[in-house]
Amino acid sequence: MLQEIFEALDEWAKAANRENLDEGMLPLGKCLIQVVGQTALLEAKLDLNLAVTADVDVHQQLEYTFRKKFEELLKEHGKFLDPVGHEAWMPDETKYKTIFKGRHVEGAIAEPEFVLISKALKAPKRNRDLIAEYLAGRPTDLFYQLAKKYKVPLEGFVK
Amino acid sequence: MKRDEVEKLACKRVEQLKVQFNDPRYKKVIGKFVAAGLLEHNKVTAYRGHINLEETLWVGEVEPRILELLPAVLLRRPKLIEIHGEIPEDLRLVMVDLRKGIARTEFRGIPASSYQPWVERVGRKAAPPSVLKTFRFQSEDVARLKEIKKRTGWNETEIIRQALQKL
Repeated sequence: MLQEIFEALDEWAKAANRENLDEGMLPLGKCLIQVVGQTALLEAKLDLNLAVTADVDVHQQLEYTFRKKFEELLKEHGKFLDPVGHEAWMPDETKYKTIFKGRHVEGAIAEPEFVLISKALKAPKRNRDLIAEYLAGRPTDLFYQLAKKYKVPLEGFVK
Repeated sequence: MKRDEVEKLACKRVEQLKVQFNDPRYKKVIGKFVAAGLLEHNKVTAYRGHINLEETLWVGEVEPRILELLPAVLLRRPKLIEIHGEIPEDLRLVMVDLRKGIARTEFRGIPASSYQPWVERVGRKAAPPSVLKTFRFQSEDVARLKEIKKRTGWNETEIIRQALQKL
């Protein structure tokens, strides 16, 4: 779904840009959209039981023109941009995987280890079963390194 | 605790979870929320039959996102969930608060800040009506508006709204 939305946003930006240039206006800039939270996990296609509400969390505040169009496209898919999504805590070293790169729009999802550490640290009760499922699937070294760095007591999720 | 021990205990926990995930109540309730466009789930498909409050509350203990949505669903889309008997007191109080727009109480571990926003997002509530206003502008203001309109693609109302937000 996200890839399709990013692509549509890029197509829209290309058309809007052509109009701007025809009229001697400044061209549109570039837009980076980094999706975090449950939507990023769903897009990563992990073998976990994932229930996702309709809100999409994006790590940064988007420039107004892009945000408006992005919201419109999300709405067409029954989703909406969480107005405080950019306030969600993510580790400083979070890595993102680009899933779409167009002329104006680059769309990426946070790598699962970083999303799951954020969930384990900030909302352990709500994500207890999700983290337990992830732990049972033999997490990566990166996940354990992050858990150690951010002092996440993993045993609390499995007892 | 060592990695191996954590993973071993996690596997045991997952065995317990599998029983819950395979419970018909889980599939029905999650499926109903999926069919209503309130949730997306990678392993449960849409269910268009009936669900009741009792089984919804049970599933809420397994998947807290159900509890997050439940008060808003009961307020805005009450036909989605059948209610046989009394609504539990804690849920009833949360709904009373939500109707007044003053939710403060945690609902079965879900803070008010997590369940309250869904009241606006779920169901039929329309945006507040817009109000017609008339202004008299100087010609240079009109030219400026026209130039911003061309550059941004916004309509004049949106331009003024943006300017108001910045003041």
